[in-house]
Amino acid sequence: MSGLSGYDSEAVGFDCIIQDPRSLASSSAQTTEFSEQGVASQTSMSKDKGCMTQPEDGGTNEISEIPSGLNEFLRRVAPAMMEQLEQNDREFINESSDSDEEDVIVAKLLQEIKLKHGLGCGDHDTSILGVTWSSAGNSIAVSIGAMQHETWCQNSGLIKVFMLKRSEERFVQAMDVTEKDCVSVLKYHPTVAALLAYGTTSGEIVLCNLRNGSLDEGTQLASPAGCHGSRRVSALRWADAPLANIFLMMQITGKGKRRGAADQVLFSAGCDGTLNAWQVNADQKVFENIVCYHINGDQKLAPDITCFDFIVIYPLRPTDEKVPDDVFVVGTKTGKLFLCKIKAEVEGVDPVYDVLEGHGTCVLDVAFSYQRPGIFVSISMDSELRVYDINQGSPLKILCLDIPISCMSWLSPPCVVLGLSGCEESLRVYNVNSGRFVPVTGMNGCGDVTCVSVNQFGSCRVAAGDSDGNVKIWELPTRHIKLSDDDLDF
Amino acid sequence: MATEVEETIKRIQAHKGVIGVVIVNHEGIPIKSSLDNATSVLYAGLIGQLTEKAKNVVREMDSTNELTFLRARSRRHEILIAPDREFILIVIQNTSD
Repeated sequence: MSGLSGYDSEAVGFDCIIQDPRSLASSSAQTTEFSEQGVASQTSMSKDKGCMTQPEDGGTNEISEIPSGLNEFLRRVAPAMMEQLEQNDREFINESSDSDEEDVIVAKLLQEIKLKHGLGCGDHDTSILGVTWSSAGNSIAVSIGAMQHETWCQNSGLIKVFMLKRSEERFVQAMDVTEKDCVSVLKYHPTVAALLAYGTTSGEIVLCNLRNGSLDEGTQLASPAGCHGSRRVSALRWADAPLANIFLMMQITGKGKRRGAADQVLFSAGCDGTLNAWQVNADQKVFENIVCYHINGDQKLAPDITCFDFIVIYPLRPTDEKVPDDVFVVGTKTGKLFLCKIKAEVEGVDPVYDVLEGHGTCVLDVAFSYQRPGIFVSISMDSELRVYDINQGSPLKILCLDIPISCMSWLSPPCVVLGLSGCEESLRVYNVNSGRFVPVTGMNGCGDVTCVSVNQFGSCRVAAGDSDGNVKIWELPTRHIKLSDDDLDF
Repeated sequence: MATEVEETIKRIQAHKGVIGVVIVNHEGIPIKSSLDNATSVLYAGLIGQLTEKAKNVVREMDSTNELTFLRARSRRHEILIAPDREFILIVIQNTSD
């Protein structure tokens, strides 16, 4: 293939694309009308399932087979249900009802003790002059004698000590303590077992150590002669530990006296207007006077003291709520209430720093609240119950009761139990915060109540003596007393 | 299994103040009860409605929350209700001493 041009190249082959144009065709669809169609379905099902109950004693009604899952369900919910039921138990005890109706509390009479004193004694010699519980509530001491003495006491005094017989759950007579004069007041120590103090109508104070269950030699200690002007001891109180500490320190610093570990402090007040603090120790045979206060002595008007009480000391109160812990109040036959401060000066000092607007007649009892510092309650012969704050001269509250009252004891604030005289009812419970009486049944049947004492060791027990020589002991379910938030703050 | 169910019911029934125990299924029918038939059916119906309403209330307030227990206290009784998916446990307790 000579003679070809220089552009000669290899022959190449390439695909041949043949186009065959065709007209494009497109199609579209447009919906011009539509309709909806739905199909509803309803399933109705009925099942006949009877619940036939056959009368059975104490049985549960059930169908024959246990549904599946029931066991697991009960395992899940039963513990929570039991917990709620137990919570209810606690709530029903403590929670007050929304209802305005007050449930009546029923006091249960545990025992009635009839006492007669001496042969040939008239009826007037069989009055119960005092009753006191031991710290654990397993002993009661009762003083029997004459309520009134025209001149001086010509009767002999008698104290009967009863011990609780556990097997029978009743108090049985354990021992008698005789005195040459009527025993006007008596008090078991609030914490030391078997330590009993009593005061007589001749001004004597005696300490008994009943630990051995008998009055052997050396188990009785008497105050020095002539205290309280040989006149009636009208009130006795034991000091609690903080108060005892104050007075025992006074004894150490003032008189250089040694202090025993088991020393206690006893206060006594008399018709001669004096209040004595005593350092006592039954084991060491110690009975010494710490200080003798002449109430209102600066005014040269010695009152006939009927009662007194020391403020309850609250060491854990915040600073702004602190109240003085060295105050005591003295009630008198004329109705006056003297506010006094503990003083460590010489004997015969007048501790009075204020005179409160008092009752119109004889103050029968005064008692400081365990709950509210500085608050105390007093009752008088004209059936008045007053609530005072030591920082205020006038009473916070005056309740004029329509029943003759003779004695008082705190239950648990704000409730007090009052002894009545000349009524079918023997005792009545009052809420001093609300001013209302708490309906309690079962506390009746005594003569004129002369003394009352409450023990709250375990259950709440109230002992009351009357002018006919009877002592009754009730159990009072104080947990059933409904209290409001305001009451709890009292 | 039947014994365990019975034992649990007896334990609840023996608690102080309990006067009745009713177990209701999801259909509102009492399947176990210590009360008579009429009372059981009444409690089942009424308590079922109450429980459903209470469940809705709790869920409406907070959709992540759920009702676990319900107590209705009246002057004379308290009704304790433990709801679950399949059953409701109803216990009636006397509130007065």
